[in-house]
Amino acid sequence: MHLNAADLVDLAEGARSESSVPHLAQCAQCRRQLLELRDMMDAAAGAAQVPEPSPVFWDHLSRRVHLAVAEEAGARRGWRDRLAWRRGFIPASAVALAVALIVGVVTWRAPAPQPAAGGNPSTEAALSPAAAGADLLDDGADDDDSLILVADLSAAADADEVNIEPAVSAEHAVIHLNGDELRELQRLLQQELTPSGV
Amino acid sequence: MADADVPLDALDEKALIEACRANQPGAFDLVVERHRRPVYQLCYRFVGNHEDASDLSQDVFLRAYRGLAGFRGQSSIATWLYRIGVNVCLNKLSAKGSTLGKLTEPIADRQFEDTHAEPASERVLRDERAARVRAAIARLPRTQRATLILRTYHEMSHQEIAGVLGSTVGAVKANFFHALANLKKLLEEKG
Repeated sequence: MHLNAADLVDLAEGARSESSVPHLAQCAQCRRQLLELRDMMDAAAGAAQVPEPSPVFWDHLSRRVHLAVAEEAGARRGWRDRLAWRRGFIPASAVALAVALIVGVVTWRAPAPQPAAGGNPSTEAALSPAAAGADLLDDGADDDDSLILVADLSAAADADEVNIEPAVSAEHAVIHLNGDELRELQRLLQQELTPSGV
Repeated sequence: MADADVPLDALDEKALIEACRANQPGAFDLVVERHRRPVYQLCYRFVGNHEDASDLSQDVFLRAYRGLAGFRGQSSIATWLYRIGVNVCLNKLSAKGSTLGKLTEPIADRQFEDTHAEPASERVLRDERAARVRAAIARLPRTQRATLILRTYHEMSHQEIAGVLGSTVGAVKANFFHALANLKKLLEEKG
């Protein structure tokens, strides 16, 4: 049986001695193959030299790579910034939407209080969701996007369409939530306060 | 995490990679400086001309930078860069077809070789033969070519080549054997 490719390569590279392979002494074909293999290894090795580029080339290559890497790093930072912004924006929007929904639901479901004679300034101060939103903004929180969104959403809710009685305060409605509504409010708040891992 | 007080030159490979990952200024530049020559030579041996070899070298380092997070340090930086280099070069060859239009530099362009110690006639003969061998290597099937280049010119062990090519030692030896056998045929074709 003739020597296989791996055996011949090992012999040609000197990893194995010829004396360790008795077949070689008896087989002219394998000896010829081994000889040709060594010739081609020498021929290939003779073409080893790569033309040396200009001496300034190496620094030029380093500069090119440096600039390309810097551009890549800048692009990555840009993406990270956008992602970070999204990470902050999505939970804030979710919180705002949840708060707006809660406010909308509880004010819609709450019973209408009897109007007091002569009016109550504290009740009048929280007559409508829009007013509540305005209060939020008046508290110096007008830079907070989520609160602005709550205010906008609350203001956009048409009291006539959803049959809200005008003299209902959100505070009053929350205080008078039934058990299911309180549990739902608790669940929503916990959901929003738990890190989402986005 | 690499200690910022230690000069980059004094860092071992693992620490240097950590410094690169931490975006320590100059860390990746040092990787480039240390490995640019063998990476360029690898690329040149695949494509056979300076322009493509230069572009491919840049591409190799840029891909290495992108892949820093995935480098686990199980091989040396050089082997890792060779692996990237072989992939980049083989992809380039695939995109351009089995051979490139310009396989080797004209002999007259090799103005930076140190040839003072050799008579002109011998130098010309040697250069012509080397150019024929390079052109023949450029016509080898891709994996055979990669194996021959890594084994003959970059002195990588069969085991290392198997790691670079995602192969086995037995397959590497078989590819090396067939690469040399095909090289002989191609050189005989050209006379």
